[in-house]
Amino acid sequence: MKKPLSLIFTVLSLFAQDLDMLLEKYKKESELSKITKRDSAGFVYVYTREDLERMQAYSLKDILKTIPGLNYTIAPNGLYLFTTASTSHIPPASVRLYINDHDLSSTSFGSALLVWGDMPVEYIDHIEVYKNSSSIEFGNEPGIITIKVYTKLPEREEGKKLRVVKDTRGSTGVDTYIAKTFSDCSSLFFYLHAYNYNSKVYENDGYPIKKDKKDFTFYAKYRVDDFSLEASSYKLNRDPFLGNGTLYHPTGGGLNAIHSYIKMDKIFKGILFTVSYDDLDYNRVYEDDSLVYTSLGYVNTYKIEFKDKIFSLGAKKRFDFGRNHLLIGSFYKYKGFEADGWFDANQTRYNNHLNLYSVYAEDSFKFNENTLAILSLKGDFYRYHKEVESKNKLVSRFGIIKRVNDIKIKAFYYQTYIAPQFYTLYSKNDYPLKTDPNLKYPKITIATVGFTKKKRNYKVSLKFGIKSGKDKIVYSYTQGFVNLSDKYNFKFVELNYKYYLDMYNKLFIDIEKGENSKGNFSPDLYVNLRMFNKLGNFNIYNELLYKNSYEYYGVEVESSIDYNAAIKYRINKDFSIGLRGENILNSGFKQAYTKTDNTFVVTDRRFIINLEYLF
Amino acid sequence: MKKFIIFLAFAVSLIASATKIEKEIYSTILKGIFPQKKVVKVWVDKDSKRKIFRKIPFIKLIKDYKNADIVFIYKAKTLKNRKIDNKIIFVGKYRLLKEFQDMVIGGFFWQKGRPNIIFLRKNLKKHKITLPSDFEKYIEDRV
Repeated sequence: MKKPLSLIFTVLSLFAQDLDMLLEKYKKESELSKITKRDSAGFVYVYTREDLERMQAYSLKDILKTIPGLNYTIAPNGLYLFTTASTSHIPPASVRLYINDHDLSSTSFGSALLVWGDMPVEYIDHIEVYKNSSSIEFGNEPGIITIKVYTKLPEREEGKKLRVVKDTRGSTGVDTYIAKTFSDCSSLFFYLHAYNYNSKVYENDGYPIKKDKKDFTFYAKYRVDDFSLEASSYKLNRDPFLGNGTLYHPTGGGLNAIHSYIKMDKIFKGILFTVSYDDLDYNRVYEDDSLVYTSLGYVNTYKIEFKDKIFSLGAKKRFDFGRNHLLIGSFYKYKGFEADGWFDANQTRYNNHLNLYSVYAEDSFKFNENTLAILSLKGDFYRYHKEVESKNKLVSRFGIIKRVNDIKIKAFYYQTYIAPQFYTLYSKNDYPLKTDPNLKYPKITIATVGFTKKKRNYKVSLKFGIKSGKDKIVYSYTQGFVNLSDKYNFKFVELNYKYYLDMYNKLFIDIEKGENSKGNFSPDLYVNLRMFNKLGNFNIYNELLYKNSYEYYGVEVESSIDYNAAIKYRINKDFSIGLRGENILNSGFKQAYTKTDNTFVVTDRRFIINLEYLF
Repeated sequence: MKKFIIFLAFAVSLIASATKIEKEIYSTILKGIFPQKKVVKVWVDKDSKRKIFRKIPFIKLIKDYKNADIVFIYKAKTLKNRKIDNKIIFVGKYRLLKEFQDMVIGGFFWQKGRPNIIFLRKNLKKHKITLPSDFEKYIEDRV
């Protein structure tokens, strides 16, 4: 009897040893991104919660700068904008940012990513980035890059967290959240963030150039059954960086912005209803010794204040008919706009509003287990209160996903447009501010194809794409915002390789080469290398971002290697201490600008101490 | 809930893998609690979880909790409305473990962003359960 008993306990002992491993595997397989990710929406890049933690990412910028084929760079006024391999800035309106499916829209700029582009990520569970495509169900404002961030779920958190960061430039950040569930199956998540960021001080012709910022975030979510209520506010105060002067000699000013929203979701009889309200105040001041050029000539101080008020409604329902899955839905947005401009002693004021109606349908047809076709159509109807002509626009997308043995082929054809935003319709180069009713909606067509081979321990993808467009809106110093009538196209090839040594150690390599028919405005070759390792209680992350040399309006910029690394030591299950280094080699990407021959590093060299405590 | 409904069809196949591991975890826990039982009679108060237990070979799912060797509870009202405190109770939520820690022997639940297993020493003793020595790290006095 003794022997069988000891055998039972030996077997049980082995099971117990496995329990930790099973919990780790369970955590990995239960990642929320596996539920929210829309493979059929295009090529998606996912940053899981574990990735964010191991990278010790503190703001969205830390993530967006690592997306294959994209360069998250800084504009003269200190705001972050994207360029793709070889291109100039992507219009802000075509980069959509969603928090829990809420479109952070802006009447003035189209997308509030301009404000939220450096938002904190401590309350974020995971991030999905869709490139060169977008699902029509995400929102009614069309995009080319879609960034979807999802907050942590109280049901999985059940506790509190405190995170404190401090860096070598004296920046300090504090984040805290509380997550709780109640006996009536409701839940609450409440988050606060405050950050005081000090940048390196650069010089332009003897004038100090800074990009210091202070931001504050509040987020709360209450959920019971099929109803959820979210409210959030993001307040940003940012130094002018180069500003907007004739020679970039800033003496003051900067940006003060606050964006708040409230959103409700309710599922009723299988239909998801969404109601939300957004309020954005964007207050920008330019003060410059070299004067700011405006339609009234040169001024010392130019100030602009945008006030956006957005009310949104959405409804959608899914139908399953055997092999056919049909999604139908509609959106309505009221977008209110007010702009006040101060040109030294002169003042302008303008307001308008837009009613945007959209209806859409998407059908997914499964030919067999290995072949899926997707057809999406969306009609957008723009109705302006005054001056701007009404427009009806159509967005269409066709995709096919096919599996051949262990290779998955995805191909998409996407026809879309970018709506001119109020900041382009009401140009500061007109006085008093007035609209350009002739501004056309830029048209964009994107065709992409990708091949992915997946094995047990690696995944390799090869993607090709061509984006062509016309009527691009650009800023002209003499005419304000105008359409470029000639066509352009952008071609790219991208190679992605992911190698998984085991559950904790992995290597990602991404290479993208782009070609722009209008010539290069930014690097055209990106190589990203990212490595996650675990040694005992140490989590180690290495990130190397290479971009080749480029020329920008006569300014030669050398190739760059932005090396970032993070090491985290887990003292116990609830307490960890970490160190993250940014631009460690001090050879990170430099952005060139018009109006100066100087170039400026986008990511300052700094080291950040990071303390995290769960309780 | 919203995301779950919207992406239900898409998510089912992905969740399958997590469900498989969840089954293995429950299987390991039950073998630890009942090392000598060839068949363990289980009562579960949630349909979606019942499907997981059904796949464990040495489990017999029963309809009446009174005849169960162990009950798995995911809803607070089950513990409030039924007199099952004399049963071996294992819960699936942190809130239930905390609120009913005088009754339950342990729980498998999400907390602090990770899945956890906790057994409560006092209640294991009350039910004369001796867990394998390697389970010691999951045993706590209180939560």
